[in-house]
Amino acid sequence: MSDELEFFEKAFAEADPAGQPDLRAPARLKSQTFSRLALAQAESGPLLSIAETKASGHGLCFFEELARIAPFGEKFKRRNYCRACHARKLAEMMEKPPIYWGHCPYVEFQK
Amino acid sequence: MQVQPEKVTAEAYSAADSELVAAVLRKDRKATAEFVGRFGDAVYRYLRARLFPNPDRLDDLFQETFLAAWKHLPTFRGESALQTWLLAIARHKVEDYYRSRLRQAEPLDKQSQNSPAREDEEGFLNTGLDDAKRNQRITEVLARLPESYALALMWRYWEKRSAREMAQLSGKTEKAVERLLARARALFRERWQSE
Repeated sequence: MSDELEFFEKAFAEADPAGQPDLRAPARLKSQTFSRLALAQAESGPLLSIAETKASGHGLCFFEELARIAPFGEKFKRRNYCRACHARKLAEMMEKPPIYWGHCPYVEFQK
Repeated sequence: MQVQPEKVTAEAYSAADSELVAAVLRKDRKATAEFVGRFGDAVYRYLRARLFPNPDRLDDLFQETFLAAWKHLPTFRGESALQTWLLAIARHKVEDYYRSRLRQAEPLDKQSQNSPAREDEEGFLNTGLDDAKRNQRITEVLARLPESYALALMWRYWEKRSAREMAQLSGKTEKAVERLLARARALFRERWQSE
């Protein structure tokens, strides 16, 4: 093997930056991706209800908690509330959006 | 179900993976967010490295990876860790991108046929740089190569695809891929020596 081929097989291959441990995905990108996933899920049928989501051990955000206790039917409690939330819009545009309440997925992406 | 990845063992990871998969398939919105949050960094690191030095399509491929994962999640059997499975999807996305870019780079390939590569000089890359500086210089030189050359080198030496596999995936002949690689290495050497 020539020096050149050996260089590419070893040194060049070792320069692969794929393993950089300190590189993190932007919160904005995670937010956009979660929004698209939730939208795709909602388009194929209702989401898991807010009550079931809580029962499975997740905390609910302020708005979801309101929806959970609201005197509306099951269909209402399976809606994709994040779609209508201003936190989503902010988080999709800004790396550090001014969202300060707990259990919001868009806040979790910033951590 | 709030799983802290750094606190679970490798064995427990499978259980955590299958719990998360089941929850995402139930359309648990919080689990879906956790899915993106837990694996987003690994997918991003991989894609960013493979789309170097032009990350224009990074956001699109990141989102497409997760959407494809959601679509195919019912077929996930847990034979590998969920992250490994996701990275395999990301790899497909990257190779689709490489294929499309190399197809568009046809004129450059044809031009290269008329100027054979020289690969017979020895010692040209032996600079005595330490690993970190050498790696940095490699990425700097790579960033200044024509896109098709950089993609070919990354596909061959970072993705560890053979010329035959690259030919099959890109729709080119094996000889054309070898020629492209030879030209890419030669130009890399030329830039390495001149900078």
